[in-house]
Amino acid sequence: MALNKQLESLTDEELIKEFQDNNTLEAYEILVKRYKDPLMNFVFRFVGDRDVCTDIVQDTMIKFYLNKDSYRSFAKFSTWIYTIAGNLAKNELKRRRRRTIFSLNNDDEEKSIQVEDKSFFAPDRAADSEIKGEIIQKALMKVKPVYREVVILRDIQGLSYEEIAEVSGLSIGTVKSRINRGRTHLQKLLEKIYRE
Amino acid sequence: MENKYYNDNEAKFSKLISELKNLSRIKAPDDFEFKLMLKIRNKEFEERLYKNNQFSPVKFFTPAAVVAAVAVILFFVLPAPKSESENPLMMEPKPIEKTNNAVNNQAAFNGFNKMGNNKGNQKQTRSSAGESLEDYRVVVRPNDVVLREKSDVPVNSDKTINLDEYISGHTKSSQTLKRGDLVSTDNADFDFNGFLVREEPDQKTIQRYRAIIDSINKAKAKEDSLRRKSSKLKEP
Repeated sequence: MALNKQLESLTDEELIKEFQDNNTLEAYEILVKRYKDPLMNFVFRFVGDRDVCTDIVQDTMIKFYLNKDSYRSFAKFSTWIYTIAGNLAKNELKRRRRRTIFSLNNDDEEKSIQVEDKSFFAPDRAADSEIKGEIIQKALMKVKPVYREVVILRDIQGLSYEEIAEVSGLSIGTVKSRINRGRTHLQKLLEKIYRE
Repeated sequence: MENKYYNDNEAKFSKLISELKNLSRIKAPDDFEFKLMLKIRNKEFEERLYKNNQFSPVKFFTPAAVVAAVAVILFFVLPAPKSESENPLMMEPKPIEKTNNAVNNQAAFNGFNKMGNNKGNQKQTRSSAGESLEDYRVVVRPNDVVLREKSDVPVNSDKTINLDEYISGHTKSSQTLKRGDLVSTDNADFDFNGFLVREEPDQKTIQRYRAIIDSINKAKAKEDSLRRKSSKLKEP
């Protein structure tokens, strides 16, 4: 208990060092506790499916557990874990796209979206902010993944340009231009949806 | 400067950014850690993760096998395209036409024709059927049978030109101003067989044939005068 309290006061980098050096499972658990929600939020906004997102974050944590030694202390732990989660989320999107291509009824997804659309403005729906949130999520899913990822990291997760550059493996200039393009596209989509 | 540009953009998208920031936060399910630790303790993940990372020959060769299978199916199932053209090595050889002979014979034939009909006129006379003698040629078959066949000489007889005269400028008629065609005027497919050499018959032959023609003409004239005389005598 005392160890736990002591560990909780440590930074992410110190915790992973502890986990790497002494294989302290408590340090790992504290890191999982710290990052499960931000990663869930990031992956959900990127993939748009809650069940899949839970699986991806679980896999991220397992990967972190298995590959703890591949982390290098010069990098920030947050960027490292976001990179793992981002890669797994991208793989999931690729797998889905492949499944859609080989699927005989390609327009299933489209149909389900249409059904959801009708329920957006039902009178018995919850608060206005919830409806807005669903609209934004729908618009986000229409933005290209390369732009979507950086917009989520910047505007939803609140990462700095430098951190995003590290997570995505891009230069800061590219990150900025992609964020700009992603925002422009998202704004256009939202304007269109609001008009409808 | 660059920062300012992007900061300006952030101001432009301020409404969108605030909407994104105010989105409800998605939280992990309550049993997230429990399930995760369970997986780690039971080492459920290992098999799955190692399976994904391990090299599998089946996975590696699947695309190549699919391509090979498709190629085999296409090779055996699809019918082979029928070639319209016969193998030239297997074809029955055609009898060789003595084209050179034919062309030479034709030239002689033309010379004779000109001499016999209109001496001064360079133009070819046409038969009652509307065909020129130049439309025919003499063909010597391999079995020594001589035939007269319709000529497919790739030169329009109306537009043929005598190159020697044309170059020397001896021909003064307006016809020479016309442009002659060596092969054809229309778009018909003609093979160019080469230049046709006009062979002028020798003077002796001409004189001999002239003498024959003159004697025939004289005989005809005599015959006519005798007929006229006999008819006059028969008249009462």
